[in-house]
Amino acid sequence: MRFIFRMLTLAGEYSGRIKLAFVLSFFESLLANVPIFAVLFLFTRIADNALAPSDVWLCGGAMLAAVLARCLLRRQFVALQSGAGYDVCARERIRIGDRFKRFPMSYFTEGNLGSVTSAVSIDLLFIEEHGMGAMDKVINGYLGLAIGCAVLLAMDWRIGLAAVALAALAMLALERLQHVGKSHSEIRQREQAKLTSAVLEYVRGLPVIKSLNLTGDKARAVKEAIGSARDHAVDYEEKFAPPSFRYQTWFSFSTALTVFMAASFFQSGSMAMSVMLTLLVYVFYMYIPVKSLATLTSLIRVMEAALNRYERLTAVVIIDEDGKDIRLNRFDIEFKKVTFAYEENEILKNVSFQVPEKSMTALVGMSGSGKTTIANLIVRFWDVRQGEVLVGGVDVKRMTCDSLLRNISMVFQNVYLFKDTIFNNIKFGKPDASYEEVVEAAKRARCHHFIMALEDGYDTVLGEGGGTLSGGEKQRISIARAILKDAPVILLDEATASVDPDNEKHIQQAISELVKDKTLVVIAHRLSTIRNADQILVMESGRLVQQGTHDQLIRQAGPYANLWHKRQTARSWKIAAGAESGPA
Amino acid sequence: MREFLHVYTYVAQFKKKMYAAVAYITISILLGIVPYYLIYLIIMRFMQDEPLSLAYLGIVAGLILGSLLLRTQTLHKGMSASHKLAYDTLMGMRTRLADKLRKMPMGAVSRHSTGSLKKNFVENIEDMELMLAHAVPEGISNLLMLTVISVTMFALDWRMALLALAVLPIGLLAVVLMVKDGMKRMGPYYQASQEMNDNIIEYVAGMEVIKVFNQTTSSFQKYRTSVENYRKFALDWYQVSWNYMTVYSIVLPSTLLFLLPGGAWFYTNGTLSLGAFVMAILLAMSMGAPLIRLVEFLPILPTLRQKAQKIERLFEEPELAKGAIRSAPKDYTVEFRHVTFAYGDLDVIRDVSFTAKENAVTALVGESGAGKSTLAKLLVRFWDVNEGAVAIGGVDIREMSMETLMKTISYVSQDVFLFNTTIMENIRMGRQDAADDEVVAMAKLAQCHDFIMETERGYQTVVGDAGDKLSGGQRQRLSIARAMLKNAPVVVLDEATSATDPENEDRIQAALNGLIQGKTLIVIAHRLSTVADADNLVLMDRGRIAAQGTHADLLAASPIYRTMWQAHMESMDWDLNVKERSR
Repeated sequence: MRFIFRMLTLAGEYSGRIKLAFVLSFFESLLANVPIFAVLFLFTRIADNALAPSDVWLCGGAMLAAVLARCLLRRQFVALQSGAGYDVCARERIRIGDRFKRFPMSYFTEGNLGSVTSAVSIDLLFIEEHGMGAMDKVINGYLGLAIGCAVLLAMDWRIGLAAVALAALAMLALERLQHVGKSHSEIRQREQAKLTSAVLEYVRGLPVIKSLNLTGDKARAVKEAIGSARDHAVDYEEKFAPPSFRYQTWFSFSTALTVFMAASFFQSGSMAMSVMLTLLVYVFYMYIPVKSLATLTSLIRVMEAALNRYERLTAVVIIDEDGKDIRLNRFDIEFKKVTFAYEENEILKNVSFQVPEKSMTALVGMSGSGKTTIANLIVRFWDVRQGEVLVGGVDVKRMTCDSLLRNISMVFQNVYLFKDTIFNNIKFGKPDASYEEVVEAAKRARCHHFIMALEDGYDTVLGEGGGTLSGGEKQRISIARAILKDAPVILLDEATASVDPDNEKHIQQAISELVKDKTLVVIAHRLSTIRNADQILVMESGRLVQQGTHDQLIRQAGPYANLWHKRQTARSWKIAAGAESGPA
Repeated sequence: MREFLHVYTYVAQFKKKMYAAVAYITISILLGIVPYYLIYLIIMRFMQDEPLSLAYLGIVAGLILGSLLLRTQTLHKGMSASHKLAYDTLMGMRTRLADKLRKMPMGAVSRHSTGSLKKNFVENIEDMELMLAHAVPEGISNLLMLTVISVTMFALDWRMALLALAVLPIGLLAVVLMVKDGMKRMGPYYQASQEMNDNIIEYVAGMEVIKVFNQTTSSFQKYRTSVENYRKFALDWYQVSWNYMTVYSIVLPSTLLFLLPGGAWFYTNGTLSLGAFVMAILLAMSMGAPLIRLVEFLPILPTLRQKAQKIERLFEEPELAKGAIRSAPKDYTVEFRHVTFAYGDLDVIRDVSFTAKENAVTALVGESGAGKSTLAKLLVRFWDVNEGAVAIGGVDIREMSMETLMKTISYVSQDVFLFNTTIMENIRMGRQDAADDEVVAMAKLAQCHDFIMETERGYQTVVGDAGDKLSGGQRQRLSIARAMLKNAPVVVLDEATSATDPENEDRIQAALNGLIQGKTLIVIAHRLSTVADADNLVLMDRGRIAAQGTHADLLAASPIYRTMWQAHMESMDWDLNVKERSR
């Protein structure tokens, strides 16, 4: 029953339509009893020896009318109900899509992407395809039982009472059945998840499995998961059978008892023949909808799990609820005593620095020292725990994401291109850009040549994630996009340049075009590129430990000088097969 | 239908269960008719004004209860048998798929996305359950039951049988029209659904770009349109099929619609006995449920067919030919002899010949897309060559058993894959009989020991739990340790490996130095300075060898190499600048 409330809550403004559908559905199931009453009517006439041809016509007419009316009613309520399902899910998809833009970026981690998309596509799909029908069947099951009992009570109170008592016992059995269903569907989901991860590991690891001759071992692992999925599925069917049998048993009892009581009451003269005959027929009809509640339980479990996953998504707190649309007129950046923690781990500890407008600041440090976190805090993908991040003198928390990000471009290692034309992918940087502007940006990003070499030029449609282009080419398109956007603040991951070592020079030229006259914050890996930085911030496990220009820092003994020397040796590495084992 | 029949080839070994399932379900359906017959008996006795004893009524009621209970029980037995059959079959299909992937060339496997392989493995095969466990055994049993009831009715009174079956043509017509219309509208619907799913994935995966370029409007518009389109096409289709669905779902079970008035009329005529009338009503009523069950499976079949097709196509993919030579090659010189390889219609490698000697460095250089990585992949039989041959120690690699070939070669690439088990086991996979201290020794050589000891459980840390805590460079070094333990005489190295973690480049380099000593080393080189000392540089240009020789040879002889070298030198000296450089 809780399931129905949840669905109605989800439906929101459409719940009225759904309720109306229930009413129609109720009348439809009432009309389904017409043939029974026709039987009753005919038998009464036969028993009275008064069956006339007009009765036959009346009876046939009533049944035909009932079928037609049921068709109309059902067509109506199905359209209302299932139609509402599609409307609700379309509305939810759009609503959650709109919210995604305002989720903290930290939410869209590699591991989360799959579950986010599957909640919107697979889970909502399941709800829209099966949710309304399941709800209707549940309501019909309970209502059908209630109506049935009421009809029995009206025809004969003794039989009615017996039926009510047995129905109550059946409901208790249903409760138990649902309990079993719940615990086992959890196991089953876990098995399914285990199978999925075993399969994923097998498929992803196949090259390694083959090259290390692990086929026996790892194939056994995946086969074990396959076998265990089978065992649990069979086990589930087997565990489900006894409670389901007990549930059905109560109705079998009820049926047999009704037959016995009706026949003996007739025998003793306390029941009319017509009533008895009708009861004998009706009792085989009335429990069909309620019996199907047993098989519905597993469907509802799956649906509830889907609802849970989707609701978890809607519960994510959006980041700029109180932000204002603020237009900045200067573009310096300042960190004031910023502390940031991800879950339990403090990643930045009391970091303060200033980045003047149109200057270059480099972030340096080992991986995990907090460089990337600083960049993520500037664009407010995450929020600081303590302290303030100011852009143009305004706390980023006071702005909407839109008004902050209008001023910033980010060029990172992982390029994402849309499944669209190259032209539109570049134009993404500035929606109202003209054709000439797009081409100009492509030229400055050193893209024009390779784009023109493609058969369809700027109209080439890229595959998912930029499929057809090399890493370096994709990177340059993303830089063209940023050049077109022409934001005053640029955040750059310098490793971007080495995405495609074969084309490094082109990417470097593109980046040089992009950063001209901007406020630049660069996450630096190869220190050689930042010799001209106005300031270098050296990070070590979340703290700012050194600050200055290259020339200043290189003369101090400290982490920067160490890093610099290490880089110099790494740079001159040469591969030689016999170099260290003996004379070459 | 061919696809379905094919799925049944997997069932063949479980024939007994299939027969059992059909038998149980049929018995259960027949048991369902017994109470009707008993009711008929009572009614006939009453009609003849025969007094009935309570004991007699008690026995009849008991028989009704018994047959109902037995019916439920046999139904459960039947369903249990058919589910076992179904899950055994699914297991068989999955196991076969796992073996199939292993036998396919890796290149062919990699053409399928991980997602689609997983979908075939898990979801698509799972969906066959519906057909195996339900559609077929229940379909057969329901059909059997309908036949039995119809025959009984014809025996009872042929007119009543026809009246009961009169709803059948109406209902079937609705079903046929619905399936026909569905065929027409299904295409656009599935396309809209596919488009919506693609857009959802793209919208979520591209969220960072969407946020930064605050193009929330246009990309959101695209997303929104696809959502609305999908709803439109779904409703377009369903609005029509609901009409048909309504008709057949109401008309088919209404077997009394014609029978009741007709029977009453025959009764008044005196051409039908009351007993036969009652019996006919009961029999007709028991036809409704199986009719609906039968029809309900029809609309699902086209989707199932599509999925069965996808699975079948995977099973039909060609497998890598198996080599027979198990002995190790006599030496480890690698030879490419006039190798030509095409990928689809594209010639990727054309007539390439070179020799990589033992204890020497052979570097493959060239622009991206020139064919460097393809050559390396041909060596590990990711694909097989179209013409020419690749040989190790004079033996064509296609004649070697896969095991021997893999024992001979270590391939260190940028893509590192670690299994979700302990660090210790991940390294040990290089040589399964290695002792713990051998593993630790290799980890030390590969510059892994220190960071491993920093993790909470050291070598017993499970890689998946460490998750993001291992940096790219650390994972890379673990894979190098694994390769070092394997100690294969031929090493193929993607040099970009060393740049996986720029802050720790020196450590990865040290690890690699340990791996490559005294081997036949083939390097896919990107930064030319790293391979300037190589014994032989093979310069690739659009699938062909443009030049071959030492660094000095190439500088002197090849203009392409000279340009590349110059560009590389410049990029080494690149400086970032926000102001125009004042040089």
